[in-house]
Formats: sequence, C-alpha cells, structure tokens
Amino acid sequence: MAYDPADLKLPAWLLGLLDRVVRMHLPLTPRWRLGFTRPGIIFVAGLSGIWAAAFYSGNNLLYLCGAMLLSLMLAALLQGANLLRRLPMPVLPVLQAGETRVLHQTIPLPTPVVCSGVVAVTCAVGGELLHLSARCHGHELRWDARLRPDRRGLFVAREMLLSSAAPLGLFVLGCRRSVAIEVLVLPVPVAWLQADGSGDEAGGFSGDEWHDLRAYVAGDSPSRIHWRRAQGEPLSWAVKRFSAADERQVKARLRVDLRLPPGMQVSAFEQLIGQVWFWVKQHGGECDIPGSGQPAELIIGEDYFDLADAAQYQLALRTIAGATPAQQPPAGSDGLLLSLVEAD
Amino acid sequence: MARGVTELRELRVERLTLAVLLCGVVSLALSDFVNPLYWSLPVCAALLRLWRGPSLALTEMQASLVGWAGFIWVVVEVLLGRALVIAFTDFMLILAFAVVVEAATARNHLHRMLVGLFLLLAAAVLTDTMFYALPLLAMAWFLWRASACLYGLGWPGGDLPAAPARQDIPAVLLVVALAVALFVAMPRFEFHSLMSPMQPRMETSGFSDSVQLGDFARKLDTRVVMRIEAAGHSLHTQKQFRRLIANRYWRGATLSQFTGKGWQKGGGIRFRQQAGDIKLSAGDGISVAVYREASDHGYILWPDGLLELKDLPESVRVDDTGAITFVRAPQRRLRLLMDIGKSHTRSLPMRPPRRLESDTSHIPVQLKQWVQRVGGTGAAADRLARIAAELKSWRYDLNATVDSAHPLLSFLQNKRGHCELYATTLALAARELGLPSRVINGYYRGEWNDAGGFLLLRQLHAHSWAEVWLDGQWQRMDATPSARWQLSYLRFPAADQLWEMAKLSWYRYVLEFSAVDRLGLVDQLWQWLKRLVPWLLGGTLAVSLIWICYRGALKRLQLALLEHGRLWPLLDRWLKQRGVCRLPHQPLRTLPVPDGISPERWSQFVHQWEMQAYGAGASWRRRDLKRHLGALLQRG
Repeated sequence: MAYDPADLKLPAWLLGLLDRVVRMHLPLTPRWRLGFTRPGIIFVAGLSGIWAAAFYSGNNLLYLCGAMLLSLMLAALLQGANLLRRLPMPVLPVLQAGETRVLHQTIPLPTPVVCSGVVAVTCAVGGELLHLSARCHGHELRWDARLRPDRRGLFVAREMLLSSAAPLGLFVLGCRRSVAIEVLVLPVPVAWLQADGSGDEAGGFSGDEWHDLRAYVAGDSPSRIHWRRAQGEPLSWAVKRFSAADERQVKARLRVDLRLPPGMQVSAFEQLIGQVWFWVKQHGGECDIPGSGQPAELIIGEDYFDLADAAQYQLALRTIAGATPAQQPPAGSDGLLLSLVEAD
Repeated sequence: MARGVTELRELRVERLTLAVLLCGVVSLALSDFVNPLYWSLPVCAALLRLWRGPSLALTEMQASLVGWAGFIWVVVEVLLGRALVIAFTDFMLILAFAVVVEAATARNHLHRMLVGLFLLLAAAVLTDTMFYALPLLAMAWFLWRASACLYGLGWPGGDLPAAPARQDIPAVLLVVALAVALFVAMPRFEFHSLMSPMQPRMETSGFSDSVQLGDFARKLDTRVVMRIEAAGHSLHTQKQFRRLIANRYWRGATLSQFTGKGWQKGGGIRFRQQAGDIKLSAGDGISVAVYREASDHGYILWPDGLLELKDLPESVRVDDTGAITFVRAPQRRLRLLMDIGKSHTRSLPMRPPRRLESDTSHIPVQLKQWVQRVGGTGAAADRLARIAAELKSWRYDLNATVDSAHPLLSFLQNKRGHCELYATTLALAARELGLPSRVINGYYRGEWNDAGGFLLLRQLHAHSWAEVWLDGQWQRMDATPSARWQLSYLRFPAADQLWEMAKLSWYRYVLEFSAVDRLGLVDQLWQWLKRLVPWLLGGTLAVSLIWICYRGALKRLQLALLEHGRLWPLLDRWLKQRGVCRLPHQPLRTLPVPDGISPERWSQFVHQWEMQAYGAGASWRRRDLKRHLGALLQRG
C-alpha cells in the first residue's frame, strides 16, 4: 500500500487499534464482506466526524461535503464489487503434488475492466488453499500464482474467495463466487527402473545428436542432462534422447492393476500411481506438450489410452489424477504390468 | 524503463495530491473572513512546485519548523483578539504552505489530502457562496484520481499503470449523482451551533437608533438585501405572486425623536419574543420566504399586511412603534417565513402618539415659515396634503449637497435632495401643523426577477417615509418624487437576473434546503412524472412495436455483431445433447469428450476454440461455431 497512516507516525497503540479494525470484516450479504484498510479507517472516521458535524449544525455545506465523500466511498465499493463480480476465472495448469508451479498468465479482455486493481483469489482444492493474484488494467488481466498442492487428485474448486481494495485502496471488499474450476493434481512421480525403459540409456552413449527429451531418472548420466532446462527439483529435469537410443525403442505398453489388496496401506497405492505417472512422463513427454514423446499405450484398470494422441493423453492424466482402487483386473494381456496384487 | 514509469507515476501523484490541497485552499479563499495573504502563500508555493517539480522542496524537519512557526504566530493572533475560528483557519493555511513545500513522500501525500479536506470543511463554515461547489466538485475528481494513483503504487509485481482520465469519468459522474441523491435524502436536524455557514455582515446606514440626516442611502448600491419568493406549496402563479408582493413598503427602523440634525429612536415599549412563531394578525394570506442577507443591524424588514412570522430562528424584540429586531444582529443569512395578507393594510397594533412625536422644539424657524407659506389655510390634514404635493414637485437628487450644520435649510433652498430629507421635512411640517409624526426607514418596491419569479430588494431600494397620526391612526405619507424609482442602475440586467436566480436557487436548494423544500422537490418530481406518464407509456408502446417489427432484423444484426461470450449458450446446448454438462466458467479442455465425437477432432476443436477466444485467431460468429460443430459430427 502506497499510503498508510503508519506514515503519519501515529502512536503504536493507535496503529494496533487500527490493525484490529482492519482484521474485522463486516458481512454485507452471505456472499459479500466488507473490510477496511488503514487509510480506509481514517477515511471512515473522518466521514463520521463530518456527518456528526452536519447533523449537529444543520450546515448544508457540511451535508454536501459528507454526501460527496460518502458517495466517493459508495462509488468505490460499487466499482470494486463490479470488478470482483466480473473477473474472468483463470485456467489453471496441470499441477503436480509436491511441486511448485509458478503461474504467469496474461489474458486479453474483450471489454476493459471497470477499474485497475489487484484481486487476491483463494480457492480450496482438496482441502488445501490455492492463492492467486489477478492484476487488472484496461484490456489486460494477468494471473500470478505460486501453486504447490500436496495431494494428488482430480479436484473441482466450487467456490472462490476474491478480495480487493481496488480502486482506491480504502476498503477491502470480499466476495465468494461459485465456480467450477477443475484442478488436475498429478501424483509425485516415483522413479523406477525397467528393463526397456530409461535404465538402458543410462550406461551407453550412442549417436551424437539428441532429438528428444525425457524426464530425468535417478541414475541418469550427468552428461545427458539438459542443464539449460534444469531448474528446480531433479524430477523436473530433462534428459536428452539420442537417435541411436530411439532406434532401439519399441512401442511401450503399461498395464496398471488398480486393485488394492486387503490389508495393504493406501500409501502403497499412491506409490503405484506415482510410478504410473513417472512412466507416463517418460513415454508421453512433458505434460504441457502432449504426444511429443515416444509411442506408448497405457492401460489403467479397464481404460485404454494412446499417449501419442493429445486428447487421450489429457484423459490419461485425468485418470491418473483421479485414480482410486478398483475391483477388476486391468484389461489386455500383454505389456508391462504394474500391480500391487501378487501374481497367481 | 520500469524506473521511468514509476517516476512518472510519482510525479502524477505529486500533482494530484497538490491539486487536492489546492481545492481546499481555493474553497477557503472564497471566504471573506480569510486574509488573502494566508491563502496566497500555499497557492504561490503550489504553483512554483508545479512549475519546478518536486526538486523544490524543504526537508520534513524544515517543513515542520514552518508549521510550528505558524502555530506560534496564530497563538499571538488569538492573543491580539482574532476570532478563534479564523485563527484556526489561518493556521491551517500556514500548515498547507508547509505541506506544499515539504519533500514528496508517502506521508506528505497523505498530509496534503487530509489538509485539503480540512480546509474544505473549514470553508463550509466560513463561506456560503455558490462558488463553493466548484472546489468541491474538483476535489471529488482529484481525490478519486489521487487515491487511485496512490493505490496503484508499490505492488509486488510493479506499479499498476495509471488509468487515463476518461476511464474515471463514469466513476466521478456516479459520485456526483450519488452525492446529489444523498444530499436530498439525508435527514436534517435542527441543532444550531457555530458551525453554520457565515458571511460578513453588510454595512448599511439608517437602520440604527440614531440617524444623521444625509447618512441614509446616498448612492445606488446594488448589493442585495433580501430576496423574497413564494414559499411552500403555493398555488399562486408567478403573475399573481408578483401582483401581491410588488409595491409594498418594507418597514424597518421607526424614528420618533428629531434632534435638529437627525433622528433618534426615542423609545418604545418593548416586549421580547423568543424564537418561534409570532402571530400578528388574523386572516388569509400567502406564504413567502424571505432570504435576509447578514447585515450590521438586527431589524427584520416586514411588509405591509404582515400576518405572521413563522419559525424564527433567533430571539426577537417587537416594539409598539412597529419595529421588529433580532436581539443580536445575525451573523449569517437567514430564511424567514412570513404570511402576508393580500391587502396592504397595516397589521401590527401601534400605540397612540407620545409627546416626543409632537415635539417641535428642534424645528428650524425657516421650515416653520415655509410650512405656513406653503400650507396655506384650512384643516391641518389639507394643509399637510398641500405641503406633500409641493414636495413631490421638487427634484429628487441623491448627490445634492447637504449642509451638515443645517441640512433642512439647504434642502429648502435647493429644492432637491433624497428621500430622507423629503420624509423629514414632511414629518416636521406635520408636527408644526399639530399632527404627531415620525419617520420610518425601510425599503420600497424592489426589483422583480422574471427569470426566477421572485422579488429582490437591493440596498438602493432603501427608502424613508413619514407616518402621521390622522383620524386616530398612523397613516403613511410619502413625499418623495416618483422620479426616484426611475433611476437606472444595472448594466446587464438580463445577466444579473440569471445570476440572482442562480444564487437564490443555491440558497434555497443547498444552504437552506429544508424539509418543506425537500417535500416540494419530491412533489415536483412526482407531478413531472405524472405529466410524463402518458408520454412514457406511449413511448414504451411505440418502442415495443418497433422492436417487435424489427426483431428479426435486429436479431440478424446482433448475430453479425456477436461476441465470443454469446456463443456459449449454443455450445452448451450442443454439449448437453451429447451428454456433457458444462458448469459456468468451466473451460472446454477440462470436459470429457462428447458422445459420438472423435477425441482427436474434439481436441482440435478445443484448440481452435481457445485460439479464437483469446484473440490468437479470428473471432467466431454463430455460423462459424455451427460450421465447426458440424465438422465434428462428420464421419471419416
């Protein structure tokens, strides 16, 4: 906040009192709440003084001043409410549990926003709160967020809490909006080695030009890591695939048995799903570039997905995110089987 | 680049907060009580600052010292006898100067806005001019802009770009409309205090207990003394009201004792009346509202046929010579409500003459001889009528020389003078003829304002006439030649009428906006609405018919102008037919593939949809969407 009564060097007790009032939010309707910023409290206190003087004196010029300031407040509230009511909802990217995803999304708006402002948005997703920030100005809306969900799931945010002090920075208007924003949170990928997977690439080096990237797996040679794209945690690193290695690849198929044996903990099931996601990342490419990886098929339970197909890749991600233990064995008969159930 | 943008924005904030402060200073400069030296200080400093930029600044400590010096100076002023309210205002203006020259910081911006608001509020008490609305409106605009600009500073992702001024115009118009609605709707309470708007008292002559001949009304002073308009729900038309109110004498001071060089009040039995209503006479009349400017005298000027004074805001004295005065001369403009009878008959009961009203001891010998000569013989009343006729034939001259030692002698010699000399001569002639008499100072006729439909009394309408005890009652005798009322005094009468109408509207609908006026305003609106209802109904019907007739064409036009948001209902309907229910605001990419659609095509469709929705491709119209949906259903 650019202007703050703290700048007036007010005594600490008064600032403490202001902060207490700042924390209060008056319910206007079941969905709307009104709070004050520190300058807003000073504004309202001054306004109350003016009205008291006007009522006492009957001085109509004081009435006029009071009416002007009160209407300034009402107009600001109306504009703020309008902004919150009409704010377009964000399109959230696919998230991964335990991973921080930084969101910078700029959306051009067909009609300009009523006023410039910053809106703080909070939504509950699977028992966690996601915090986003929207900067609106003219024909542009920019979403900024650092999203770090902890739990896997296919969630739908039904309600969003929006709050903003726009346009004057005097009042904080809060609003609950019913929405239906689907949030896809994939599991933490669990690295696992397989015979025809990434492990065989770790040792040898053939060919001199890479043509593709895959996810990093523990044990990969550091010389194959694409260091320019290596940011954040190792699981998000990319490893170069060379043509020679690619030639040896065959169309991969993974069958996932979603049955959870009695007595086994759910964490084992989560591990299994993490392994599936790991496999999909390896064979399906980056989650933002579906279908860019090698040809692969995934069978989860009774559902079949061709990961080379963008739409099916998306559906596969949804299925992985929302997977729950099943009763039936997986469809199909060949390919690599990933299961918690002991073989008969 | 970002630094440049921030600096530009800070410069804008600097200018806007200065503008807020200046609005406060200007509003206070409108007050007659504020010394121009004090308000010109911050104005000059602000202009310099705007010219030279923020580089022209004192440190906070230096500005603080200026503020303290101002405080000490104002304390000295109070000790020297300056009114506390005015001294406080002086201090606020010195403080405004200190804040203007202080270095631009966040605190300084806050100081400027707060001081500007305080000055505006102080001006609400120290002035009542119509021009007050201008800084008030300007402050609403600048306060909005400055607050919005300050709000946009210092956000984590960088400052918000400043909105263009035209973007704020709807908001400020909304503020003005809401302010007007709130001003009309808020309840009024009748507590009187020092915080009512003040105006300087107008200096007058002739309205005191002692008047020297030659002092009274010697020039054509166009300052307005009173404005009189019909009050309440009067059924009278302007024409009727004009006929009723025109050509009335407005009585002020009653002067009974002649001293040789002037007149004195000469006593009277006074009775004090508290604030409230004073019923003087019974009968039907019209209600008028009299807007009395603050004057240096306490006389209530009342017209012939006064029936009742209503809702007097302050205590008054009423004496048996027909003078009604406030106990203390009011410091501000007052709205007095009066009921006036349709006839011009006198309403206030007056006592019979006393000895001092027959006193001839100070009448000059030359005047006595002149009376004998001009009056001739016969009954006293007839002789007095002849004298009055003789006086009326003389010349009215405001600039006639009046010998302060012998004012009446020079008047008799020159046969020219102003109304006071005519009234005095006639009154003394009546006494010489054995008829008790006295002189009344007040106003006569006035000026009708066609634009606003009200009567206006200016200082130049001040008049003096005589009252003579005839046939058992006090009778008015006015010997002033009628040429008096044909003097021209206004350069631009049409513009002046409009200006006075605007001022009266300001007084009526802003300064004295009472519950009666509010009801009247609502009633007027209601009447206006009732008159308009047939037109509104007819218009609505016509528009509906046109709408129905051209609905098809309009629909086609709408289809041509369809924006992206209008496509959603069509798409949602299509999705529902294929087993997919989309929630509001749910993006397409999160939906399952609709029944009977190839996932590959669906994915392609979603991609194209998003491209056009976010402006990367050409916007779809309704037929484009239908074409794409049709393509989705095609086999192969």
